[in-house]
Amino acid sequence: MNRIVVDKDINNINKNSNYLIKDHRKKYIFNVNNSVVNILSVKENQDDEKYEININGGKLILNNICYNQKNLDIKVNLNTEESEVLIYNSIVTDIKKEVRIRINHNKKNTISNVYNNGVTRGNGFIKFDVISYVPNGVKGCFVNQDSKIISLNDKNSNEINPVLLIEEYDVEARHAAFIGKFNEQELFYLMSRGLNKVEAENLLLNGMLVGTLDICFEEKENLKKKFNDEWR
Amino acid sequence: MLEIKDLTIKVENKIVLNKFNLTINDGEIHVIMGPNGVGKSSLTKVIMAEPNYKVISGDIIYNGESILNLSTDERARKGIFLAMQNPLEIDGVTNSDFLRTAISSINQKNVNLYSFIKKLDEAKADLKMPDEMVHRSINKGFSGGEKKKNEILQMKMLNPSFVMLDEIDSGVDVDALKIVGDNLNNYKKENKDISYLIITHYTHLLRYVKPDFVHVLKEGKVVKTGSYELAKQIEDNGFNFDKIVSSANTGSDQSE
Repeated sequence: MNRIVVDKDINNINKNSNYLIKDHRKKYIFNVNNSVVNILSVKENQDDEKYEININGGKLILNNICYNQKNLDIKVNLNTEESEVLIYNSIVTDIKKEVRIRINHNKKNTISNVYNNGVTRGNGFIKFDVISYVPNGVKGCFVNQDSKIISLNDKNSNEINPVLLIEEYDVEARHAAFIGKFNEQELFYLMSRGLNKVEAENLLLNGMLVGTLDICFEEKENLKKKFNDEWR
Repeated sequence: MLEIKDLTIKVENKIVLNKFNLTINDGEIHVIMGPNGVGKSSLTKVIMAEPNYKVISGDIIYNGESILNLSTDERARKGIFLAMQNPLEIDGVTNSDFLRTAISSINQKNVNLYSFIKKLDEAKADLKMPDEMVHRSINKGFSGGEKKKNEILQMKMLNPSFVMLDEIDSGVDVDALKIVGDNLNNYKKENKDISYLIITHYTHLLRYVKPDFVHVLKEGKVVKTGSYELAKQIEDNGFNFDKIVSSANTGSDQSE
């Protein structure tokens, strides 16, 4: 998959395209106009970042994978009917990390799906704050938030705050949140096929952080290698 | 191959197997039948060292050695395989990654990609599974039948010598059941010394895979052992234990 490297703060996108974000900027603005856009952002040991995303028709998929990056703010405005956003955040951290997401469903029949997956190690802990807002009169929206934190350390400061601010009755909204260790039954299933505990945990981590991203096979393989060689 | 001696186990403070004995020799096919909750699945789980099942007393001997102190993965690497009643869905982990890692672990060396793909293609074709399943998450979005076929696919890829099949026939339609049965028979033909321990409620699978012994379990113990005929009797009459045990005196089947 060929990706266009993002090299400016403000990006107006008018056709279907794939973007890659590698370098650090304090704030990115994406204005998506009647297009399907897939963004992959890979960050390592970097400072706070903000995204402001305006979807004026079409769909945006934001794949964010980061290792020891500081705080992340994502604000999305769904400005035309049937606009859609999918956000996948995959985070590995040894430091304190806050992710704040705000989705505004400004028009009818808009769709938002947010998937946060985090892994804490060493002194790391994660806080996910996700707010989805549907004002009164904005009918037919679909809102989904799904957040999971696996703690590989003994810290119990991880936090997930799923907030659904829904003022309209005609809305389908759901959220799920999990903080804890790996599922024992999943580990048993993998180990019953000969994997030792470390191999089984690595496979589950890879699956949770990379396997769930909406990117092509080749990109997944590269990220899995990076994860195994440098981030595990 | 496998000898279970006076095994007593408990889960959640409840005894589920009580001084249980069973010997399975190389190449034999054993079936365990019994109503729900008598300890059939517990037996397979304790053999596979599921952490919630605690051994109170007794021993499990595999190929002459006690395996009680071995972990789940160590038992798997010795050639023990459990096809599960309810295979888990694991999101994000592809079948391909899982199988490659598992084969590398069992063989203790990196898997050759060409031979892996060749073997996987053959196994998929044998089981009439779609090509794209390789890149899908483990059991994610699979039907009940596809999940059970996936268990058999894993068996064929990992080459175990002792295979436990826990209700592999539940949730499987007639066509898929025949495919599963054929694959089990072919695997046995290719590996004459392998043994099966089949847990089932019905004779459906046994029409394809003929057992050497059928055991009836009650309250954590074998109360009767017989042949395929015993399984047919149970299917016709249900688990009428008085009748089953008393018929031991009139037939060739034995009660314990």
